[in-house]
Amino acid sequence: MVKVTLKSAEGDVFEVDEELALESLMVKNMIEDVGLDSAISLPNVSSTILAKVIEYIKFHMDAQKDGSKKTSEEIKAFDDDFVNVGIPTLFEMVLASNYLNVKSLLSLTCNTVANMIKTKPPAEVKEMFTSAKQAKA
Amino acid sequence: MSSHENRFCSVTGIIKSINTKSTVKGMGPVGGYINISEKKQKRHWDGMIGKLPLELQLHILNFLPLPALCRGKSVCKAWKSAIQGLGYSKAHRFCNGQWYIMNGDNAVGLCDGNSRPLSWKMIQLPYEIHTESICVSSAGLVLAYFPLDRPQNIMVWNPLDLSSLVKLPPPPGSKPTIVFVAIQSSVGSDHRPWFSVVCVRGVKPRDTGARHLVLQVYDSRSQKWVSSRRVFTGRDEIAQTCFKENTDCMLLRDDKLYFITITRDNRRSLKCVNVWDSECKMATLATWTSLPMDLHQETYDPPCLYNNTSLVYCAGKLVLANFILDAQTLGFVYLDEASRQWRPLATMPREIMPAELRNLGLRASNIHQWSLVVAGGEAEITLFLSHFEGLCWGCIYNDETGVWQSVFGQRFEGSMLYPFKPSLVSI
Repeated sequence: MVKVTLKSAEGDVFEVDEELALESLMVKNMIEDVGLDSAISLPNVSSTILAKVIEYIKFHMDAQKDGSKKTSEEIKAFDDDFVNVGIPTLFEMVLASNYLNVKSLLSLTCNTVANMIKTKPPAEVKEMFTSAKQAKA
Repeated sequence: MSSHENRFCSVTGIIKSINTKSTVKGMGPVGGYINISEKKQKRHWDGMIGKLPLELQLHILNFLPLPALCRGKSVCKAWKSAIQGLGYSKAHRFCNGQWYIMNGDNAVGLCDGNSRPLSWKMIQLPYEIHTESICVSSAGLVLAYFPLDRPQNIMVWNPLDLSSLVKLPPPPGSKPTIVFVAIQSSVGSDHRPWFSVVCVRGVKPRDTGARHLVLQVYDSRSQKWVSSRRVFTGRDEIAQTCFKENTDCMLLRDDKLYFITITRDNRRSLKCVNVWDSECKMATLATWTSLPMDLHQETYDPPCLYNNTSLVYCAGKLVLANFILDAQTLGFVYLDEASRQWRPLATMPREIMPAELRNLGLRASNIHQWSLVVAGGEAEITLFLSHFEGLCWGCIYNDETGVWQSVFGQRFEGSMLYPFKPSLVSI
């Protein structure tokens, strides 16, 4: 099977199946442009996050294959567990899935953020923004 | 392990290493972030959402349910303008489906009609009051409710945003002979929504109806009752009002008030009057002595206490809902404006009614034990049937599909559902 080499921001190299890499529309476009010979550099994605993204795609590809015994409950449990991370990681995953253009992961992570926001009263959400500005200043 | 040795590692290797980290140190895969105190973590979260590019922030907004989205408007200017823009498209998405609002004690229920089964969320109101009746404006953005014996309690708000609640001053006049209240909303030249509330009083009221009507109009732009005009019916006719099941036999649509008059020889007319017309000129839209489908209509002479005629607007049609006593069910007719005749629209299949209600029977002799509340939406008519022994039942008719859907059984502590289209525009 053809392998694709992905290079994270730290310079760590990941070798993945081509089929898996094509799930990222961004990587797909890159492969079409530069071919498979050289490593595809992803300067916006850290190794930790890239590994998470690959883990996510791998699980869902396996789950969709014929003969997969995974039930929809198991998939949901995986997704829930997958986004059950610290907020900084979650936001990095939002950014990475947007950059890599992985639609399903972007929806999953954005939905998780939305679920966090929706239970907060407006004042608290507002506070999130003002203190963010203060932090910047 | 030096970073050089780590440059090339397999995917599983890295995942494994992350997993070990998390199990060994007893924290999530995030590593270092977990050890920071809760307070610090909160600050981190604060910083993060602001760091996301606006485009992604707005993408996240797409996943918020409407009430949360409404609250999000007060977060910052960028969100506000985005949500208002988004609001239209999001509300637009609900056009195929439907939202419902339900009255209750000190609360209203909100329900997304797209959810299956329908699930309710009760919203507490800041006033201790029973919502007797609800009326939704055409834009769905504001809504009035009012127990008729306490006319001072007319309120308007956006059901998604309780902070927008406006309490109207009581309409001028001494005795609360109010027979009908309804609301209309519109967007003014400055793109700000405004609404008008029309309150109808009966003059010389009797069981069957009122000799004349007084129209009072409240305008939110000047925040007061701006006009009070009399509508005179003909010499020997009265305007039908239902003192028990108020609000149903009149209809406010755009700037026109529709109502039914009845003469001594039982001739009925559907009339309309422009509420903004200073002369209150009345127009007759149709005249009839009997309705198709054997719809039950009571005569001018008493008892006529329990008139259940309901006038609603649905899918561009003026619809009259009523009991069909012979068939022991109920049905709708609509006004064909070209021929000025009522035409059959739909009959409720009797089987969908709960057996307990069916067994009670629906006859001319016991019609006073029944009550029927009807409301119209974009494509749907909702109705609520109740018997004085405490049995009640709700049902939705969809005009596009012709499907009757039973909403809840007679054991459900529910009440009337009013269809509405949500909007994020604040008053």
